Amino acid sequence: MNCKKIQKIIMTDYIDSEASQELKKRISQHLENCPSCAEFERLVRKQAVEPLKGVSLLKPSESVWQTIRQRIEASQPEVESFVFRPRRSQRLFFGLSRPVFALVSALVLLVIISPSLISFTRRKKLDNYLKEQVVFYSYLDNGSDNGIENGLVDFGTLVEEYFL
Amino acid sequence: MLDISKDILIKAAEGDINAFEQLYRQSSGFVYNVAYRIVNRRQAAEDVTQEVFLKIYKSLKHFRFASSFKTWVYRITVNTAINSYRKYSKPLNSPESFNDSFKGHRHSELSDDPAAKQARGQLVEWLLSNLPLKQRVCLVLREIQGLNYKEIAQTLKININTVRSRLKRAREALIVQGQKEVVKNEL
Repeated sequence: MNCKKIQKIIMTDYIDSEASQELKKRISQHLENCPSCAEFERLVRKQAVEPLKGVSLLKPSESVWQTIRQRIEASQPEVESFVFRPRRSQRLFFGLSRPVFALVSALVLLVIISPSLISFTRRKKLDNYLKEQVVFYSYLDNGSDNGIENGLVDFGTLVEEYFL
Repeated sequence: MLDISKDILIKAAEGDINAFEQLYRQSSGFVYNVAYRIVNRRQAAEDVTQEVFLKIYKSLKHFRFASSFKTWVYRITVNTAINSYRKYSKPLNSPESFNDSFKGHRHSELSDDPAAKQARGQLVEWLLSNLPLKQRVCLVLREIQGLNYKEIAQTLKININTVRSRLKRAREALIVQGQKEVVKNEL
């Protein structure tokens, strides 16, 4: 290994203790026998390594944490309720929380059964209306207010007479 | 060295502000130091520190422990500091020459009093400020933070030989700068 290559390794792996044991041994032996490389190693340590060693570790001021905390709290919603911020364990059904899923299911059921509810209500209204009409016409016809017998509508005459 | 327990990380990821404060207390020192050595200004370094921890708070729930937490935080810190430096960099007020700083340093390596520490700090600032950004970042992570080549490569997402190359150039620049100042002084 020539001096140029040795000096390159001195500036990196050797100085930074990244060299393998074998390489380190070879370089150390070379430095014992080569004054130029030995001087170079001394220069690298003095001008490029030692000035940066032992520098004080700085700390940020307490106001840094206060500002971070304020910004975190300001970014969170005011009311942290079960519905708004469900924990991971509560998001079970299709990514929705349990209460939200229950509400959505109830709405879906309501939409499904509401047509039948509506038609039942309408039928009842229609029946009531028809009964009222029958009563009214019976009254007009024969003064009777009960035109329904046995569930059948009685016009009080035979069919033939009715049409003649 | 940064060594935060997984429990604290999990609680902080769930939004526990007290756990996040513990995380902050244990890691703000090294975040601030890296930021300061890159941007070279106290206020800018504090702004970078704030931004780094807000990013950590938002992203912690996505951290999958695939890489080490330390490497992840270093990466966010370096990237944020570099962005800040590029946005706000202007020539620094560094009236002291290298030689004056270096003289102060030779004196200061014998003592640990506040004045000596300050002199050493000024020398470090002066030395780093004259380096290109990429070399400065590598040198800071190696010399001041004590990361090995593999850790630096993972943090910066570069090849390990690129780490060697940048450190070599940074040290060459420091030696050349030192020699120039010595010659200037002699003249």
